[in-house]
Amino acid sequence: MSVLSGAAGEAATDPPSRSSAAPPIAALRDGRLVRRRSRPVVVLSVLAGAVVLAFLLAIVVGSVTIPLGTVVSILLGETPERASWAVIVHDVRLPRAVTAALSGAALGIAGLQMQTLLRNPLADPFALGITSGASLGVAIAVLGAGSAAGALLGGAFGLAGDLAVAAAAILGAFVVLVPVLVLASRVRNAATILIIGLMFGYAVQSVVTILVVGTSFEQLQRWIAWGYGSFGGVTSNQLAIYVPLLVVGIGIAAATTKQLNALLLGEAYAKSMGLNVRAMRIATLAGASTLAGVVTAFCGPIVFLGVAIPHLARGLVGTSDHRVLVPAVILLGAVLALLAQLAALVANGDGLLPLNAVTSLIGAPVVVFVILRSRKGAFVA
Amino acid sequence: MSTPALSAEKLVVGYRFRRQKRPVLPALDLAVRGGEFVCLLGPNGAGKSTLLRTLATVQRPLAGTLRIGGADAKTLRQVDIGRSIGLVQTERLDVGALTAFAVVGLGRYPHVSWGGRLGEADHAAIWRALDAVGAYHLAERDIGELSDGERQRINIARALAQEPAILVLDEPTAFLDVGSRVELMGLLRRLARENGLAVVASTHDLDLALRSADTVWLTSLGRFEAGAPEDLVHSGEFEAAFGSERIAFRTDERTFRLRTGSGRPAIVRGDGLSAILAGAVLEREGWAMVAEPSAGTLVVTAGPANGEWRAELGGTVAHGSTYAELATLARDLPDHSSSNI
Repeated sequence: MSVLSGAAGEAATDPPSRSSAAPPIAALRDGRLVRRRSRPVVVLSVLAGAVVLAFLLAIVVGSVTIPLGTVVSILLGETPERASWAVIVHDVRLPRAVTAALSGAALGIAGLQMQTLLRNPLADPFALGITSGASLGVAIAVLGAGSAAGALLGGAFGLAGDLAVAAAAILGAFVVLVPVLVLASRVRNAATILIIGLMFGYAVQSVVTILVVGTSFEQLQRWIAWGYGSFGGVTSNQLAIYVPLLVVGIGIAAATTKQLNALLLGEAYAKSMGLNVRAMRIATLAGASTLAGVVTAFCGPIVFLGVAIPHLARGLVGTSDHRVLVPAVILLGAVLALLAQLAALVANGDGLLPLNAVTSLIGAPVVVFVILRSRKGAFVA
Repeated sequence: MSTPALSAEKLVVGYRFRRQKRPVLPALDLAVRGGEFVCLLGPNGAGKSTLLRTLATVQRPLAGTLRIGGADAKTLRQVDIGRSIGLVQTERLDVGALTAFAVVGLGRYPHVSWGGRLGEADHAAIWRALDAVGAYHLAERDIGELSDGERQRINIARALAQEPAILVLDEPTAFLDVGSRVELMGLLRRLARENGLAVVASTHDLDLALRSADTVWLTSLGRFEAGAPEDLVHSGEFEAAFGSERIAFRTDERTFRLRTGSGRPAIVRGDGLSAILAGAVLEREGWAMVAEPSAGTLVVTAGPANGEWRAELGGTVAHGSTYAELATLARDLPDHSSSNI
């Protein structure tokens, strides 16, 4: 090691004679460097404000409109004049808003991780078959346990059962993701990887269908409803599992921004600069599987948020630097999911519009835009 | 002599395929010292990239020992290797939306702490690297806006920001225009000489490599030769590696020429550039330059004004004022020697 650092040190402490090692004063003076640094701060602040607004709105709006002031006071622990409002807020709208915000952040982060790891702008948990894998895990856990009603949306087995379903979903996600990524490491073509992922997804999905069709009509109906996606099915009890699992998953991404940045250059460069690529890949896979698996288990296979959120976030902050991008994706994911949830609620009056109908409307144009914008078909090359 | 920055003992590079080892080159003994600029030359498919990837520890060797600063590479942590070797590959750097400064900053990976925050020393190293490649002015530009040459310089700056003792580059000049190629080779040589780096670069620019490298590694058809460029020229290794029925290596000019035409004898008289250019025209048209005229030798006198010439063959005389006219004449002159047969 001493030889190493010595040799490196020589090169380092030998400053080029042409100039000193300081930023060009002109650049600092006209504020260009400074402005570039401040843009993310502004964007993140605005997004944070938007999260708060969307969150409050998600609690205000519903079949019964509760005034904003009352919502705030209920959230602060006060008792409103109408007791039913407190029940609505605590039992329905607060869990739903928390679920929506966290799920959006989780799906966005999982999408970002996949996009960076595969250097593929269209990778996301759904396209890579992770969501289908999670569905399979859920189906096996629920049907294997021989349960009848309500199990798919959780609740039938209590917390232990919820935990088991979540674990099965994570496992299912991982089991599908690993072969897809093994294939991905041998195939350089981004489109091919996505097609492989989609085919895996279809194959797994058909296994799930076969499993589910063999059961009662009532369960099939529930399965179809689950497939529409909803943030409304997670109870406040279940949040005790949901929140920590997603926080851990998001935490993995937040703790590895430096490594994700190195991976922007590709695995060979990342390795040459000192990244333990294998360990990083496993950590990222585990994190993304947890995020996509848990969300799928509790909210259904939600499409398009995973691919759309990272792109929109990148466009807002104007950089691929994960130190900025990860917080931006978390905040934007929360905002978009809350708004999608609101749109699903408002568009259909009392009943809920299938969430996936809304997320597809947001996500599909983003995907088309990305394909069209990609430099001379670089996405296909 | 001091410890080589990079060395290899009986190093076998190649691929593993279904548990079989497929070496692409014979076992190599190599050593590169700080300050030395090595060019790796060879036809496509000769194993250049495989060797460079192995030297940069991105690919595992099939056998043998790779030493970095004297230490066995297998015993080093990846982050130590990151502080010792900077890698630059052929493909265009494609990283999405980052400024050139941020891209070079990625090279600080093995030095910065867990959070990836760049300190004062890191900023200084980044500016130093940008300065070394002459890309100070590109710092704030988006990497996507840069030309291929600028982008390649930023990528080299990124490798320099690692503050390595060794720089490994796989065809860094591949996508560059002629001017940028010359500039880049000059830069690599300067980095070796001024900053004491051990630089290993593969290239297809034989001409440039022969003019700028201290040492040439020559690979072809499973063979490997190392030496000063002039020694390899002298021993005929270049002709053996690259020559073919259609291509000849001109030892005197250290360049390759197409073997064309019948090689009828010609001689050029005159001074300076005019004579050189007239000779170039005749060679392109398949005439062979000879020292002494004999019967059937085309004698061209170049000059006195630029482009003017006078040609004589078997008593027939022609003259003109552009090289295009000379080329037409050289192409259309009837070949009596062959028509007689």
